[in-house]
Amino acid sequence: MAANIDQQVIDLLVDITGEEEIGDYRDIDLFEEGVLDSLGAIELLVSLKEEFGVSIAPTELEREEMNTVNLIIERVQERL
Amino acid sequence: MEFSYIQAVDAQGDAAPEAIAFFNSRGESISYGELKRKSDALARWIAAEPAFEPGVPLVVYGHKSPLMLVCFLACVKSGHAYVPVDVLYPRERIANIIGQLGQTAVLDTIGTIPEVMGDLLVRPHFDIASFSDAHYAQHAGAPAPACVRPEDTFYILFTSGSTGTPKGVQIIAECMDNFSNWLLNSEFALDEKRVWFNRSPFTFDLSVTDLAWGLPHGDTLFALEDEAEKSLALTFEALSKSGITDWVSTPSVLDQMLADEKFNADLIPTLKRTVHVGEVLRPETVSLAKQRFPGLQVFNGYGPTESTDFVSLCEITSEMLADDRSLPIGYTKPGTELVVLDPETLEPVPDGEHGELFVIGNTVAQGYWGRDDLTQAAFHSCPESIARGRRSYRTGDEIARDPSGMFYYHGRYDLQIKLHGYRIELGDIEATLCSLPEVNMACVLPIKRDGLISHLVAVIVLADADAPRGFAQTKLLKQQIRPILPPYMVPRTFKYVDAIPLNQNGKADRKALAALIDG
Repeated sequence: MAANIDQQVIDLLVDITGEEEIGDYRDIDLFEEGVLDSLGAIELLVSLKEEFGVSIAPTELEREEMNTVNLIIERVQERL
Repeated sequence: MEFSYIQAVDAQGDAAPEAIAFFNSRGESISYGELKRKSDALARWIAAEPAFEPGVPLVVYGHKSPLMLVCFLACVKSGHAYVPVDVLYPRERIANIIGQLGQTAVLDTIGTIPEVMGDLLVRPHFDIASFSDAHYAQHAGAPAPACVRPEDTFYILFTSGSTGTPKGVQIIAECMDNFSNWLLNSEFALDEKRVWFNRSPFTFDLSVTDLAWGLPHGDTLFALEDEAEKSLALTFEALSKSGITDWVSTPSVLDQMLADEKFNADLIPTLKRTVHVGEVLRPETVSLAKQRFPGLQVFNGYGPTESTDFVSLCEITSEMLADDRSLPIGYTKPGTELVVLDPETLEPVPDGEHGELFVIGNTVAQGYWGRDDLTQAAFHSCPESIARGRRSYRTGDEIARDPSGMFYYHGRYDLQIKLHGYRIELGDIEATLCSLPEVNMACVLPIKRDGLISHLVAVIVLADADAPRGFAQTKLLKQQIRPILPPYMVPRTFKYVDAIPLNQNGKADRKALAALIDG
C-alpha cells in the first residue's frame, strides 16, 4: 500500500512538472531546483485532494514542510 | 466635471493632507499632503539636475512602496514620462528596456540597481531612497516647474514582444485624464472613500486601475510588499488587517486565493467589490467569490495596455451567471468606440458574429516607443472611413458584440496569450530559447486546465541529438533563460523531441505538436 501511494504521488508530480525522472530525485528541493513554482504547488494541492481526498490548505504548511518528493509523500500519509 | 488627473491628485493634497494615499504590508505609508510636497520637490530637483535630458522618459525602479508613487508624479510634473521597472524583472530585460529609452536615467527607489545590473547599467542612476527630509526641503516649492499637456507622454509600459524584444506602450496624458474621468464621472463612481487592493506590479497596466480610480478621489491604496507576497498565509494575515473594500486583480489571482477556504468574509469583512481585467473570468470563480463574501459585487472589464487599462466594464449579474454563454466583458466607455471587423477584409461584421476588435478613441496610446514599424501595423491599420481621424488600435482579440451593445471575448488571432493575467507573446519565449547554444528549435505551447491556461510547456529540439534529455538538461536551459525572461515567462515543463512537425507554410504545426506531446 505504502509503495503504491509513493508511486501515485510521483505520478501526480510528473504530470504537473513534466519531469519524468522526478521519482529518482526524492530529496531535492523542488522549489530551489525550479521544478515547482507557487502556482504549481497550488495545483499539486488541488490534485492531492482529488486523488487521495486529503485536504491541505495552501496556508496550512510552510514551504519547508513539503518541498521534496519525500516530504510531500509524508504529508499525504499523515492525513490518510 | 472634467478634471486633469495630476491636478485632481494634487487637490487631494490640499483638501485632505492627512488622508492616507497609499500604505503597504511593510508598514510604509504616505499621506496626500506628503505625496504632493515630495513629488513637487522631486520634480524641481529633476528639472534642475543636468543628467535628466528634457522630455526623455525616466525609469522608476522598485516595487510597491510610497516612493514609487512619489517618483511617478514627480516625473510627470517635471515633463518626463515614467517607465516603471519592477524588481521582478531579470537584469537583461531591464538592460533591454533602458537601451530602448535612449538618453534615459534611472530613479532607483530601493538603492539596489547597481548591484542588480552590474556592468549592464549604462545610464546614470540616482538612489532616491537615500534622499533625506532636508533634501526635499531644499527643493520645496509649488507649483512644480513644468505642467502636463494632453499630448505629453504620461507613462510607458513595456509588454512582451513577439520577437524577443519588449515593446513600450506610450500612454499620453490625455489617455490618463479620459480614463480617470470615465471612472469617476459615471455609474461606477461612489461617494464613499474606498480602500483599494493595489495587487498588480506597477509594470502591469492593471495597476493603473486604482491609480486612476482611487487617487483623484482621495481613496487609499493598499499593496503587498516582501514576504507577504510570497506566502499565502502571510498574504492572508496582511489582508485581514488592511481594511480593503475594493479588490482589483486578474481572475487567476482571485482563484489562487479562493483555493483556500479561509479566504472569506471572516478574513476580510470590509470587502465589498472586486474588479477583474486581464483574462477570461469564469462563472465558477464569481459564484464561489459571492458565496464566500455575501453581498459582494463583481465587475468584469476588458482592454489592452494599448488603450489604457480597460475600455469596457460591467457588473456581473445573477442573470449573466445563469446564462450559458461566457461572461460578458462589458459595455463600451464613453469616448471610445469598439468595432468588430473581419480580420481579412476589414469590413464590419454583423452583431453576434465573431471578428477582430479595433479600439478607437480617446484612451488609445500614441504608439510603441521608438518602434515606428510596430506602431504603423498596430495603430494605423483601422480603415480611415471607420477611425475618422481618431486614434485606433488593432487588438488581435476575437470578439463578438450582441445587439444590446454588450461585448464577449472569444480568444486571440495570434500567438499572444494570457497566463495568470500576464500578457505573453509565445514568440518572445521561443526566440530566447532558440538563442541558447544547446537549442536547435523551440516551440512553446499553452496548456489548458478547466478552460484556462494553467502553464506553458517548451518543446525543444536539441542541437546535439545525442545530448541527455532529462532533468539536468531542463535545469541547464531554465538557468540560462532566467536572467532574460520574467519568472512568469519561464515554461514550467520541457519536452524533448527529434523534430517539430511543420505545416504547409513551413511554420511549426502547433496542433500536431500539442497532439504529439499529449500522447
